[in-house]
Amino acid sequence: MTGADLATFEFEPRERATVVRIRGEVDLSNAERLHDELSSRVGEASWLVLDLSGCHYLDSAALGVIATIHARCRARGVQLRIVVPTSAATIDRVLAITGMDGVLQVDRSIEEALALADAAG
Amino acid sequence: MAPPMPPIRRPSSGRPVAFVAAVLGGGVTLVAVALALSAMEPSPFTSRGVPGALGVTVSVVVALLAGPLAGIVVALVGGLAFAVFVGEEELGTFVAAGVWAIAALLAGTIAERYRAAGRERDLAHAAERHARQAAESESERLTNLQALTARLATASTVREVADALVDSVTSAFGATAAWIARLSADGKELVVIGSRGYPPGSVERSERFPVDTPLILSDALSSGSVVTISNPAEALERYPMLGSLGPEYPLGAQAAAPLLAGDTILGAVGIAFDRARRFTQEDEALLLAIGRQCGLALERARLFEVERRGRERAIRLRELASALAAASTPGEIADIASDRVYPLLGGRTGIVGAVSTDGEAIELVTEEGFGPEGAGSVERIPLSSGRPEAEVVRTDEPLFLGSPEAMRSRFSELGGPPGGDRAWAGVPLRASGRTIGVLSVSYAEPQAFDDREIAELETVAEQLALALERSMLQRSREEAVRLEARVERVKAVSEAMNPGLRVDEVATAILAEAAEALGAAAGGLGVVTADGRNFEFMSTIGTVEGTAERVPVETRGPNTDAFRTGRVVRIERAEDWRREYPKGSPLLGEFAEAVLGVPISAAGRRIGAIGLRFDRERSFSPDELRFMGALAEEAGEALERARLFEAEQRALRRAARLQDVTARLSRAVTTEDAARAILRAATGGDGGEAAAIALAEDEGRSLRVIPGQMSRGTLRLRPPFDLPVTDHGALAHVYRSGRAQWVESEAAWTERFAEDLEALSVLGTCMYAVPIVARGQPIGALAVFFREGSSEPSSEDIELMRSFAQQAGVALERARTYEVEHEAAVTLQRNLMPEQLAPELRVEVVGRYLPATRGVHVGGDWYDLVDRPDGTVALAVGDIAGHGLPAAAAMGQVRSAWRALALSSTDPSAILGSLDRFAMSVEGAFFSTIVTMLFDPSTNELRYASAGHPPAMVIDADQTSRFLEGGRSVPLGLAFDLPRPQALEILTPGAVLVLYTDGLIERRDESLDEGLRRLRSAGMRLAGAPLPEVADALLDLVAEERHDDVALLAVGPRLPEEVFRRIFPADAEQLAAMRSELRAWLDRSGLPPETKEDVVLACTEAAANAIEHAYIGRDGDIRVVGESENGWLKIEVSDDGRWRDPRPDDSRGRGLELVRTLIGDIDVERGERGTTVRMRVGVT
Repeated sequence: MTGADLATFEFEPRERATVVRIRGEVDLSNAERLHDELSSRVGEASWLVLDLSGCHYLDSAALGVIATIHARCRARGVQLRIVVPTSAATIDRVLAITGMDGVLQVDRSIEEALALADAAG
Repeated sequence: MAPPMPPIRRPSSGRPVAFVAAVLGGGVTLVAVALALSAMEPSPFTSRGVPGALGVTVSVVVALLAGPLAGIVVALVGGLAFAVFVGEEELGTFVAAGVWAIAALLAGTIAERYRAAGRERDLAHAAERHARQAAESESERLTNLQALTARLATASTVREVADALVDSVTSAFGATAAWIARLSADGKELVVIGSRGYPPGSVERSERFPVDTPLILSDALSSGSVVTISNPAEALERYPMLGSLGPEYPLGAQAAAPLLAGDTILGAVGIAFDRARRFTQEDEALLLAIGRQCGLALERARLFEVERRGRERAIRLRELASALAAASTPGEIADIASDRVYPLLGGRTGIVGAVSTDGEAIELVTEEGFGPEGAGSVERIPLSSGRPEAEVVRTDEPLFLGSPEAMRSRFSELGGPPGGDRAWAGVPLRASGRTIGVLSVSYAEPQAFDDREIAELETVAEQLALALERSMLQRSREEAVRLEARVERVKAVSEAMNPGLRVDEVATAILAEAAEALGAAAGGLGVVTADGRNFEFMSTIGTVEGTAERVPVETRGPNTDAFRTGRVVRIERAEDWRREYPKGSPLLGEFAEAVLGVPISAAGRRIGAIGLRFDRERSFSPDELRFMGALAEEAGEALERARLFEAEQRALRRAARLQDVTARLSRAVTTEDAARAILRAATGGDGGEAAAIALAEDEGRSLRVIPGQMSRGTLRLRPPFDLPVTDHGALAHVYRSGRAQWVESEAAWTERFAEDLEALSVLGTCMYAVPIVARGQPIGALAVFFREGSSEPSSEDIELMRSFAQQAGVALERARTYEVEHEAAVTLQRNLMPEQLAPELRVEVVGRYLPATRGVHVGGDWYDLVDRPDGTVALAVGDIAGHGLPAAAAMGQVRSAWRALALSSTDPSAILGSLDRFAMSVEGAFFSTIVTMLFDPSTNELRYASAGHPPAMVIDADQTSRFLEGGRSVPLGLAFDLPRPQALEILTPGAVLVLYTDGLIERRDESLDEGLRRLRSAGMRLAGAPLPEVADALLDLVAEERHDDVALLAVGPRLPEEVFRRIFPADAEQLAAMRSELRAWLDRSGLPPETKEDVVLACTEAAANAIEHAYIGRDGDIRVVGESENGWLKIEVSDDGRWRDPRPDDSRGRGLELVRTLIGDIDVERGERGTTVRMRVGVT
């Protein structure tokens, strides 16, 4: 397996939000790719939703990317939402350990995140 | 004067004695007559004789005492009373009374007569006495006059005369006070020359009063005669100011007389009394006489003084002349002038000025020398100025201004005479037929300037002129000598200068010399830059920090102007500076009093200039200008020498740098190595501060830019970035155009390459970029960044950069070729790798490949293994003859063929037979060697055959090692259908099998046997070691520098499941595989799923750490070893790299923290040989 197929990043432009679905595993090998893909999308819409529902592994490199994107979103006035389903205990745990759950806006489902985005207009 | 009178005897008075005697005599006579009469009976008196005698007596006495009339009355009354009371009214009684009356009449008349005579006598006596007194007073006056005359005769000075006068006049008149004043030379003032008896402060010597002041002396002067005032009231009325002179002032009678010498009034003398007094004619005459005496004496004293002064003057003039004759320095002249000349001439102060060398001004001769130093407000008097000194020099005529009016009328623009001077004289100083200076004298008094004074002035001027000329000659001689000495010194310095001195050092020495010699306050020495466009100051003195170091040559300024025109810029006055340089100069600033700019030439070419600024106006003597000329000449030579030396040094350094870069580039294998070498060569030392290399990639569609910055002697590469080749930036432009570019400033950059600025501006904004060409094709660009404001690189520097670029072209091309091939090799390697990590494989296998370090020897060696369906494993290591990509291609084909054969055949001999035929048909496969084996892990049976390949080694668990020498035959393609033998070996449990290529054992300078021995003994030592350790240790046998590549395959028994052992290259791409294997292993460990994922995360983080920090810029392995022991799960992640602390912004720093949080029991051990992370989790 190589980084190319370790994870897939799908982009789904919505009316108010750009939804990025991250599936598979994100580690050092593909974190940079994730960064490149994400940073080019920041600012496309006023909301950016990272859907980690299909992601079952996330290391600190990936967290670093998310933190960077988070900072960039703040600078551009973009709302960043992270979707982590309750089933993804590992990712939850990683977010909790690194304290990033206090920084990031975490939703439990993509619908929840999008509803917020729509409500906010 | 009258002769003294003889003393007059005063007559004694006998008047009362005579009178009494007369009365007594008369009385006695009368008594006797009466007695005689009474004695005649019956005379009228006989009967009454006594009373009759009494009556007569009384009447006579009364007549005597009170006059005849009173006697008669008494006689008549007495006679009547006698007649009445005695009763003898007889005729006799009446007759008797008549007799008495007659007697009284007679007696009274006689007494009266006598009294009148006495009165007359008294009168005569009084007159006599008076006459005697008058004679006495006259005599006193004469005595006083005599005494005065005597004193005056001995009084030789005005002062003595005055003192004698006030003494005499007070005693002569008994006056309270006296004073004397003389008329000033102009006749307009009275000057007090003596006083006595006045309260302090009221009348003092030297006091002056205008002649019209209401004072008694003024009146005496104007009237020419004695003036007197008898009482205070009158005095106050006429001279009201007397009232304000205080209670001590003798405010009573006053008198004054003029002091006369012949008909000339010289002044006046006054006396004052503290009481009223009448003045007699004699008084007045005396005062006048005293005035005359004094006038004469004063005149005489004056003449005497004049004469004496004349004598003294003559003496002092002689002394002055000899002093001046001995004076040879301006200081001495100045001393003599102030100590002797001005006092001698009666002046308060004065000036001795010398005409400046340029003939345009008068420089004051002071104790410090010529010129402005030390003098007062006027230091230098331009001849064009309106000052009287300038006029004297201009006209070459003496000028005498005897009064303030005269001064004002001639030099009104000066606002009148300075410092209250009341007269002024100026005389030109002439020597050798020309005017060399001026002597001026200021007087506190108006001056008549008579012939004598003028003659004196001219005499002094003559002597001064001689002295001045001498001192000026001396000065110019001294200056010439001094400057000559300096020139000599500069020459000596310049000749002695170490030829290794830099241009700026030479410039500093020359400039210091110039500034010191001329006394400049500030200055700079600049040279033109190589491109001729700028003027660079190599050294400055006294200029404000931050003044321009480099200016365009067109800039106005003494330096640049002297440089451009080749002429001396000479400014001696502040006004000229303001006119010529209204904006000042970039170096010398806005204000200057005098400035000198001297061009510097070398070898007939102007190369720079020295500029000096002076803080005071000054002229430059021919000697000074000659000195500067000589200095500039020396400077030119020295600077040129230094420049040539520097150029030579630079050339040497350039050569060294070129050599260095050549050497570095020859060692450079990868593009990064080459880029690093080029960037290092282009920066540091004489080079730029930063550099960037751009390389065409993606078939020339984009440029990969690698920037590097010199920081404290170390080149730091910055993150590379890509640019589309169509980029508007400078690098892309240089790449496309194939032409070098000089971008000197941010402005130029923005104007020409706006879009590139952002990416490269971190390196600088002053850049020179050259294209990099390889085989005639542009492959990139090299940009060197200089300090902002640097001048365009010299042609030599440009040439050097081009050389770098050329070298870079070759090296980069080579590196690229290498990298392409290396990448190909790596790709080939990777193709060999996957299966070794397959978890289901029943043996553990470690493969290694080392490419050659020299040349592009790649792809020849290979190894492979096939996991056969029957549970056996086929193994092979081969070596394709030849090198490079053709060999790699052949290898690929042989390997593919082997894989196919190994899957289908269980017989190594048969595999070799088939490969033999195959090798005949594949170009490059001919003469390849191979060892192929079939291993059955269940039986430990090993069958093998070798086609000309070095023997495989077996390391037994009992610490022995041996080679498998059986099954040997010739390399592929040579067998020609000859049988390929094979051999069978049963491996002992735990034995490790090592297959390798000859690169592992071959060394240039030794036999193959030695290599085999070394391998075997290494194998023995490695018995029992984990497989990867064995592989790595064996590879360590290979020299760092190798000409051949090495392939190695180590096969060992698979370790029990309790132990998880994975070794993989430090590559992020490997992490996912490691995770999945680790998960599989952990699945059997009995850990709860949550903990399992924690362990996975922790191991990945630790491994990622190693990838990012331990192996920077080189390859290496990461080992993950896990084992279960006594209810604990212990996992170790280790690397052999050198740890570098993560930067604070690095997400990996967070990674390690994450590991610590996930796994409580963790230990990180960092050492020189690598880092080991040990974790422990309990299995419950």
